[in-house]
Amino acid sequence: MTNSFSTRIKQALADPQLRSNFRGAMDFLRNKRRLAFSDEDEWEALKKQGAAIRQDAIQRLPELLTQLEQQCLNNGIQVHWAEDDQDANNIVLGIAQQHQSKLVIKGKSMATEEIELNQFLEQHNIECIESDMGEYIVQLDNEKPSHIIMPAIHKNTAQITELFENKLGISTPEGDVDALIGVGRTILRKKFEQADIGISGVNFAIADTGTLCLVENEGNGRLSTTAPSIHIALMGIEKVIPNIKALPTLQKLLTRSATGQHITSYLNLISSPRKPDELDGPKAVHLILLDNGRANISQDEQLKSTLSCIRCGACMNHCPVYTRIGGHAYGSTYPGPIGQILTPQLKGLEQEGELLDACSLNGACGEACPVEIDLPELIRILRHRRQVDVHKPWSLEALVWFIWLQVHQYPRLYRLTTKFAALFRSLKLKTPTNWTNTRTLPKPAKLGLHKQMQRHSKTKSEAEK
Amino acid sequence: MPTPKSPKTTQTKDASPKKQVYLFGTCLIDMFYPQAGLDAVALLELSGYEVIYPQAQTCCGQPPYNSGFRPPAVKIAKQTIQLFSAKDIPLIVPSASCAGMIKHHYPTLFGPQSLETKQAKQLAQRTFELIDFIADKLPYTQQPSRPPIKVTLHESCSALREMAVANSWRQVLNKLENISVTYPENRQECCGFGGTFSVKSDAISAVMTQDKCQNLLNTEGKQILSGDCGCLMNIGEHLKFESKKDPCLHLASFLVEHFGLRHD
Amino acid sequence: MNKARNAILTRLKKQTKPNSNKHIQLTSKTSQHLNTEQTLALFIEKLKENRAEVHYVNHKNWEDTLAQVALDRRLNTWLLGNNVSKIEQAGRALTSASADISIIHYTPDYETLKKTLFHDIDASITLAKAAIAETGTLVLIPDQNEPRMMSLIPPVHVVLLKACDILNNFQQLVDNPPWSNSKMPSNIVFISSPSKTADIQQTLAYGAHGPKTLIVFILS
Repeated sequence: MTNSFSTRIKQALADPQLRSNFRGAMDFLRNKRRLAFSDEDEWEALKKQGAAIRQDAIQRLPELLTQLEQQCLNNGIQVHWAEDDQDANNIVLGIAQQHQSKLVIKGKSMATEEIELNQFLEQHNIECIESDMGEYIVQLDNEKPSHIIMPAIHKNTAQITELFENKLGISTPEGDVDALIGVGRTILRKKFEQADIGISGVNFAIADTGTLCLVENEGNGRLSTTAPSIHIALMGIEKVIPNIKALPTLQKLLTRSATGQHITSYLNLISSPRKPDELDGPKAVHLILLDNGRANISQDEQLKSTLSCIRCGACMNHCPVYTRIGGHAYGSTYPGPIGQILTPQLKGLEQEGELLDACSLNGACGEACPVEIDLPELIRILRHRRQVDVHKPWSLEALVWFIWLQVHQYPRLYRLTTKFAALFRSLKLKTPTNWTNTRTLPKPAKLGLHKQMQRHSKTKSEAEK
Repeated sequence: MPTPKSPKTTQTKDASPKKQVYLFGTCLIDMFYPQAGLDAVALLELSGYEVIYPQAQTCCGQPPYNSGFRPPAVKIAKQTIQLFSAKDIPLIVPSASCAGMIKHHYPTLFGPQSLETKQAKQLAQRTFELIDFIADKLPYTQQPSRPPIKVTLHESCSALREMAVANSWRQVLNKLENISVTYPENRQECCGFGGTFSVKSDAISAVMTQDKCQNLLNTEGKQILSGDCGCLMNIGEHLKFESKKDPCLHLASFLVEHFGLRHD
Repeated sequence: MNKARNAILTRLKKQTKPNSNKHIQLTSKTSQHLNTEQTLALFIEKLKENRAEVHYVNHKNWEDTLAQVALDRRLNTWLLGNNVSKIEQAGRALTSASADISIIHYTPDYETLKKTLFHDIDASITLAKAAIAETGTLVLIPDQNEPRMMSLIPPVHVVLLKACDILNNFQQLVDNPPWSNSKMPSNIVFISSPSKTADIQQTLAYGAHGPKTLIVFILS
């Protein structure tokens, strides 16, 4: 691990407030999800359906995306294609400059985090305000979200109260969540009124009707995509689904996995801008289809299931590592198991491969995944790719496994080695690893199982005579 | 630790040929916890099996495999498959983690049409985790009377997920008389071992281990039982470091004691 | 832009496996065979679970009930859509209830009405075209008569729904939707509760950005 990843991990582990916040949050979310899927048979059936729908879509991306584009265009939605983050940012900027827009209001979108849209727009003197409560909070504190569903999950009520006091000059009673929400509502309402452009993500895009589906609880998504005269929706190309019949299954899996809700307060289906006789809604709707490495993933037979992801967050909620180090430690847009798999594929194994080490392969993520992505297996595959593509053949680890192979390949050498280790069993050794900082070393047995079993079969055959 | 002794074996003059099983002891058991291996043998014999233990066995190959170093793992896997393919008999593994490697991962290591894959699949079909295998075969009606004891079961990740044998572990314990079983808080959460994870991500591993140990101790079970030596080692050595006491015991050893097979 | 489109599609088309397109069996746990009473009961149960206020009314008493709600909650300025007879009826019932109650129609457009919408409206009332019992969900299809903001900006949102428009489950709805898939409405919104958030220490709080109160009138 690089110093920076290792440092961030240690910092997180040493922060009792962070540990406590995440522990509480993850236990809460795990429990909610468990209740929502209490019917085992239903869970199995939904999961299979969800996996099939997503795998089929990934197999048919070119066909579905062209269909989506055509239907959107028929509906009056303008469609743009962005090869990478720069492309996407420039498309947004182009639209903003064309309309001399100064204020952008955002609904929650991890894709816009991925391309770092806010920072890009700020550099071009366009104010960019987050309207999702959690995103608003982290934006206020100049931070990035630490979870893909609940961006401010790393903060507790007291910390947010203090933040509002310091940054907004607004005091609220201790522990009063309603008051805090009220503050956000008041401030952001003005922004909804004033904003020129609303930017959102897309949970699912329906190809055969040209429809964008968005789920939310707060209403800020609807406001961001309805109040401003321009709505820009940014979507990873993998989010397309064939038709609306697939929506109920995916919606159920998404909301139950994310927050334990059977459905969110709002599910919004947008198929066109304001029609001539309509009185509200954006006058222009733009859909940006973002590649940024996804097309390449779809070509990789072993890894393409990465794209099945519906961004529910269940994997990180169940990850014992994420629970303890939190989202920021990963240093990437997507944290937790999906982040460990996606980020190296989007940004390169050389740069981001170390994320793969922060995993004990316990399998809780794969078990929770509502579209049956075998996350632990993907981590294994990526570790193998890293070893093949990135690691030097003379690295320390390669040497370790070379020696390991010699010892285990030759039974005689193996028995010799274990005998040798047993001889020194009484020595209180320290290892070059940190194992002995918190654990004693296991003592090699005087007589290993091999030897014991030799005696055992001898005893048995003698007894049977 | 006293020198491991072979538990009392059930001697029989039965003329009919005993059913046979292979035992894959696992490298951890061989090197550090051979008593658990011997106890596995005793339980299998108690259940009416003859145990064959090929001496040439070493390791299942999981450590390099999980780390992304496939070639050494593939070599060892090939060897292991050959070793246990002479007879078409069950392969019993006293570790859910190693059993999982053989059962679920060996068939993916070789070319899809290769002979090795065929053999790996055939082996996978007859590979069983120990406790799961003997769960319906132990002579529960022959339990000797034992003093009551409260134990804590640590369900390993492999038992809960990959091998799905945690149910069997619970069932076996529930069939024992005078045993009460407790479970730690966050029982499905990893103990922090994860093989090389405990070394490569030692800081995170240490914290996970600490949390697991605290949760286990809070149950006030007299012994901490599990079917995976990796977890038992991780938990046991941490507890020893903290308090010089190690209440960990392999399920096989616990059962041997319970059925009165242990020499005094 | 075309360059990007071509580049992306080229990358995607490198796939060697042809499309499988196997039939995926989609089912819903909530049985299609619930009778009308059961469907209604389930719908009301789910709505109430999600903090919506529910009134089961008939053609005789719904206007009085609505008026009473306005009086009890002191909802004086109401936002109504245009050209919907049921809504006109509602408007008359409200203004008859008290001299303090006044009606604003959503006209001529959002831009002109913006200030009023955000600052002066106490409550709005709209129709729902359908509903889903399994999740307590209302299906609204905003249009020129009942624009989108009606169910979004006012702090109190009242919905009129016919009991016979309640379906058992979501799958049923999409299999036989009250809209045309070949001519999709510009917007369809599914509403299942008042606006809420648990973003602050997972503590549930209502009235984040959308309406804080959702009141449903089910007309038998």
